[in-house]
Amino acid sequence: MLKQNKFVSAISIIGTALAIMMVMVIIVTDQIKTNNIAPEINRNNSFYLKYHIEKSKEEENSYSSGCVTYNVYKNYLSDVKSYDMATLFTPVWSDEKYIIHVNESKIRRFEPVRLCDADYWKVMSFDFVEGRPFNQIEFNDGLNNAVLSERLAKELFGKESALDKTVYIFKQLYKVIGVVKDVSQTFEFAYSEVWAPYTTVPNFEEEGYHAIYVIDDKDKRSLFYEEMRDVERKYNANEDWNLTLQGPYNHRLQMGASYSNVKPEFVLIILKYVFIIAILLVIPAINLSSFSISAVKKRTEEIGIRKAFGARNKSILLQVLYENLFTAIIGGFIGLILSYFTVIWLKEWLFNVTTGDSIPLVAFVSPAVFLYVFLVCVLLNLISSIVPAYKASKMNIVLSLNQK
Amino acid sequence: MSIIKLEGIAKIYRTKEVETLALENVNLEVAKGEFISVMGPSGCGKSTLLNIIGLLDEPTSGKVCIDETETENMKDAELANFRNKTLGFVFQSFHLVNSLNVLDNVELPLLYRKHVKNRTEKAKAVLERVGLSHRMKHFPSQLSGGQCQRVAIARALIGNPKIILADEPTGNLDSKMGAEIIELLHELNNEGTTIVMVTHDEHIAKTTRRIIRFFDGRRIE
Amino acid sequence: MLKHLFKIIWTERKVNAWILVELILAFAILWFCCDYLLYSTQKLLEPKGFNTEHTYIIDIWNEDEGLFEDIDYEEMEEEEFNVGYTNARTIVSNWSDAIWEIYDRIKRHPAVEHASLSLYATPYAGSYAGNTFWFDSISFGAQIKKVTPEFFDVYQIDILKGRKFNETDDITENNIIISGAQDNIYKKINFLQIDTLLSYRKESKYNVIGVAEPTKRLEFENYTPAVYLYLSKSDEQLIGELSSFFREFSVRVKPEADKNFAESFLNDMQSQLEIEPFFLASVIPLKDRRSEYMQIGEYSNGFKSIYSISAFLIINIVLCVMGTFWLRIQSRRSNIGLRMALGASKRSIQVFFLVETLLLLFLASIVAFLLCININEILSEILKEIELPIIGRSEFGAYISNYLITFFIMAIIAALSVWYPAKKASDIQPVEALREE
Repeated sequence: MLKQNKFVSAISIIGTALAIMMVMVIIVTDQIKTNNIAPEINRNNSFYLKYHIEKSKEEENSYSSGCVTYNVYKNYLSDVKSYDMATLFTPVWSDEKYIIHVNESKIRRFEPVRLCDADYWKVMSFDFVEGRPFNQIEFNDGLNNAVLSERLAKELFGKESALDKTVYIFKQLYKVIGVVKDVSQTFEFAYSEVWAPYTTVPNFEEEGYHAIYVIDDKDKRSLFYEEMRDVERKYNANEDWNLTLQGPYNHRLQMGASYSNVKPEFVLIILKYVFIIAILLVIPAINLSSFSISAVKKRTEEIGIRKAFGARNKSILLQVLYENLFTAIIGGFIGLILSYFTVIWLKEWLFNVTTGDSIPLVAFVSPAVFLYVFLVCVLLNLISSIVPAYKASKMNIVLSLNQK
Repeated sequence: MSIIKLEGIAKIYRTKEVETLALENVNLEVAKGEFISVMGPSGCGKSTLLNIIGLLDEPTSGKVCIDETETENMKDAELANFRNKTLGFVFQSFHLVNSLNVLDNVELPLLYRKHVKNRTEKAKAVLERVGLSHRMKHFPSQLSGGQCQRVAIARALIGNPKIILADEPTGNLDSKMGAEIIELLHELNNEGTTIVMVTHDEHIAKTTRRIIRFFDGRRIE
Repeated sequence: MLKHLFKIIWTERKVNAWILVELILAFAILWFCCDYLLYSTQKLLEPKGFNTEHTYIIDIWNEDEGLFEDIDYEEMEEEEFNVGYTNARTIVSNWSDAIWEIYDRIKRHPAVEHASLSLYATPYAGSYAGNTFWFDSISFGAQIKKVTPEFFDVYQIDILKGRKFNETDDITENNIIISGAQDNIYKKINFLQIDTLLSYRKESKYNVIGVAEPTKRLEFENYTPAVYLYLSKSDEQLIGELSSFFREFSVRVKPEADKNFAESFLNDMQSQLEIEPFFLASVIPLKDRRSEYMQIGEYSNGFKSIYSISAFLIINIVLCVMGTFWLRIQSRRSNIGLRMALGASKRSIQVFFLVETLLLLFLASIVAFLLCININEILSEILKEIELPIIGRSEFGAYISNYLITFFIMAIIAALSVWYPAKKASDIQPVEALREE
C-alpha cells in the first residue's frame, strides 16, 4: 500500500517526522523541567515558596517584593507543621558569583555558591563521590564546612582528594567535607558548584531565601495551605506591613513565576502550550489530509471493488485510517530520534544553560515520553485522515467502478 | 424455486435538468441453476439491471428478492454481508486491484468474511480451477486480457456464491479468449451456480438457456 | 492562459481547497513573523544613541563585599556609636580613595582613549535606577544615571545643546544633563526646551546644563528618557553594599590598540589595580554584555522562536507543494500527453505548473491578508498575554510591507518546490501517456 506512491509516502513521512520532532522537543523539554530527576527527586510532592510582597500599611504605593526573608521564615513560617520535609536555601543567580580561592593562592575563581540548611540534603538527592554533607549539629553550630562539585574540586586540587582541604569563600576559611557529582544547570534548585551552611555567613539574616516543603500525603496539603494563610494573618497582625506570600506553588506553577511580584496564571501557561502544539500539528495534518484525499481518489476503483465484494463502509474507513497510521508511526519514530538530537543541540536555548552542561539521560527515555509520542502520532493521524476516510467509506459503488 | 425475483422494478436517474428512466416496471424471475443472458442495445438499462440484482444499486421503486430474502430495508452491513456470501461479480473491465498480485486479488472477498481459515489454500484452488496457478505472484499489468478475466472469475468464485453476475465478460477480449471464458462459465453453471450474464453478442447469448431482451428500460419478448 | 488556469483551478476546487487552506494558514502565521522581524529591523536601524565599538567594561570587585555593613546607629550606645562611626567613616574614605585611584590608573593605560566611572548607566546594564521628575505641571519617569564627564566620550553620546559635565559640577550638585524619547520628546515635552526640573516631591530643583541625544537600553526597544547626574567623589554608593554589581568602569580603546585588549589588560593591570580591598576581576567587551541582556530580556528567545516557527512553516509549504503537484502529474498524465501531442513544448508545461502554483498562492494570500488585518488586534492581545513573541502593528504601511515580503518569500519557496514535479511532468512521453488512457 505504501509502495503505491513512494515519493508522496516519503513526503508524508518527512512531514510527520518534522511535526512530531517539534512537538516532542517541547514535550521532552517540559519533562526535563518537571519530572522527578536526581538531585531534584521530590519535585512532584514539593511546594515552593520563593517570593513574597510586603506592602506598607500607611503609604499606598510603597511595597517591597523579593525572596523570602529570614524574619518571615524564623518567626512566622515556623508555625507551619503539615509537611514531611522542608528546607531553606538561597537562590543561585547566573550572574552572582562569589570568590573562591585556595589558601593564600591569589588565583581567584568566581563560582556560584548556594547557602542551605542540613535538611536540604534530604529533600535533594545528591550523588556524593567523596565525603558527606553537613549535618544538623554542624549546621546549628555554624561550622565552616563546604561541599564542592566534582568539577570544582578537580580544578582546585587536581588529582588529590579534596576532603579536609580548605578553601576561602567570602574571605572565610571553609573545610571541604564532601564532593558531589556535577549537577546540570537545568536544576534550578539543586545546581551549584559550592554548597555551605547559611549559618556560616555573617548577616545571614539579611539574605533572601527560598523554601521548599515536601508533602507526600495529599490530605495534609489543604491543611498546609491553611497554615500558610495563617502565617500571613499573624504577620499582618504583628508588623507594620501586610504580607502576601507568592505561593506556595507546586513545581509546574512555580516555573511560571519568574518575577517576585507577578502571580503565575496556570491557564495562560497551558494556553501557550496548546496554541503552539496546535500550530505544529494542524499544518502537517492539512498536508497529510490532502495527500490522503488524493490517494483515496486515485483508488476509487479499488474501493468500489472491495465494497462490491463485501467490504463494509466501516472496513473501508478503518483501512484508510490504518494505512495512514502506519506512515504516522514511522514518521513519529524518526521524529522522536530527531527531537533528542535537537534537545541536546539546542540545550543552551531551551534551558538557559552554558555549554559543557550535560542533561541526565533518564529524562530523555522514559515510558511517559513514548506514550506521548504515540498519542501525538495517533492524534495527528486522526486529524489528517478522518476526512478522507469518511469520504472513502461513503463512496457509491457503481460510481466508483465506473470512474476511470 | 426462484433464486432471483424482481417485481415492478423502476430506476430513475435525476440530475438538475434531466430525469432519465433507466428501467421501467421490470419483472424478472430466475430459477436456481439457470444460466440466462440479458441482451439489448447500449443504454437500454441492462447494466443497471445487473447492478440492482447485485445489490450495488437501489431501485427507485419495486421489490428485490434474492435467495428468498427481501432486500428492501437492508442496512449497509447486511447488504455487504449478502454480497460477500451469495453473489460473485465479473466485470467487463476486470476491475482487478493493480497494486495487488494475482493471489491477493483472488483472496480479496475472503478478507471481508469472518472466521475463514486457509484463505491462501482456497485461493490457490480456484486459481487452479481457472488454469492460472502458474501466475500466482504476477501482477495484473503483467497478464493478458483473457488471463485477467480468468483471475476475475476466480475471485468471483472463491466465496462459493450461489449467483454469479457477469457484465459483458467477453467485451474486452478477442473471440478465442472470449470462447474460453464462456466455456468456463458453462462449467460453473453445470456445477450448480446460477449465472446472469449481460452481453451484446448474439452468438454467446445463444449458448445460454434463456435470453431476456431489453429496450429502453423495458423488457421485450 | 490565465482564464484557462482559473477554470482549471475552479474545476479542481475540492482538491485545491486543501492546499489553499494550508497556504492561507501558513501565510497568516508568516505574516505575523514578518511583522515581528520587520519591526525589529526598523528599530535596529534607528541610531542607538551610543556607540559600543572598542568599548569594554572593567570589572573591579570588592573582596570584602558585604562585609561593610549598614550600621544601625540609632541602636548603639554613645561610645560604641563614636567608635563605630569613626571606624565606618575611615573605611568609607579609604575605600573611596581606592576607587578613584583605580580610576586614575585605568585612565593612564596607554591603550585607553577615554575612561569613565558610572553607576547603573552603561549600555546593556542589568542594573537600573529611576525616578520621577516634574516639568511645569507634567510629571514623568526617567532613568537616572550617575556618570563622570568622560562617560559621553567613551560611548560617543552627542550633546545636542549646552555642554558636557566638568569639574565645577561637582560643587553645584544640582546640574543635570537630560535626554528624551523619540526626537527628544516625551509626553509632549520637548526636552531641548527644558531649563529646570523639579524632583518627585518638588523639594529639589535641578538645572539642565545640557541635552544629549536620546538613547535606548537595547536596539529593539524604544527610546526612553534619561537624567544624567554628576558622579561626585564622595558618593558612597560607589562603595556601598553590592556596589560591585552596578559600579562600572568603562573604557574606549584606541582602534589600533584593540587587539586582544581584554587579555593583555588583565595581565598588565592585575597588580596595579589591586588596591585593598578591590581587585581586577574581569574585562568584558560591551557586545558580551549585550548578549546577556538579550538573553535575560527574552529577546533572543523571541527571535529563536520566530526563526524556528518560520523554518517549520517553510518546510511544510515545500512538502505540501511538492507532494500536491506530484500527485497532480499522476492524475493529469493523459491530459499532459494530449497537450504535448497537440503541440505544447516542455517549457510551456513547466510554466503551466509554475503559474498555477503562484496563482493559488496569490488567491490564498488575498484571503490571508483580509484575515490578518481583521484579527490583528485581538490576536496580538491574546498572544502577548501568553508570552508569545508578537508585535501586531496596525499601520497601513506595515500591512503593505508585511504582505509584500511574505508573498515574496512564499512565492520563491513555492516556485522552487514545484520545480521538480514540473520538470517530471514535462518529461512525460506523449505517446505513452495517451496509451495508458
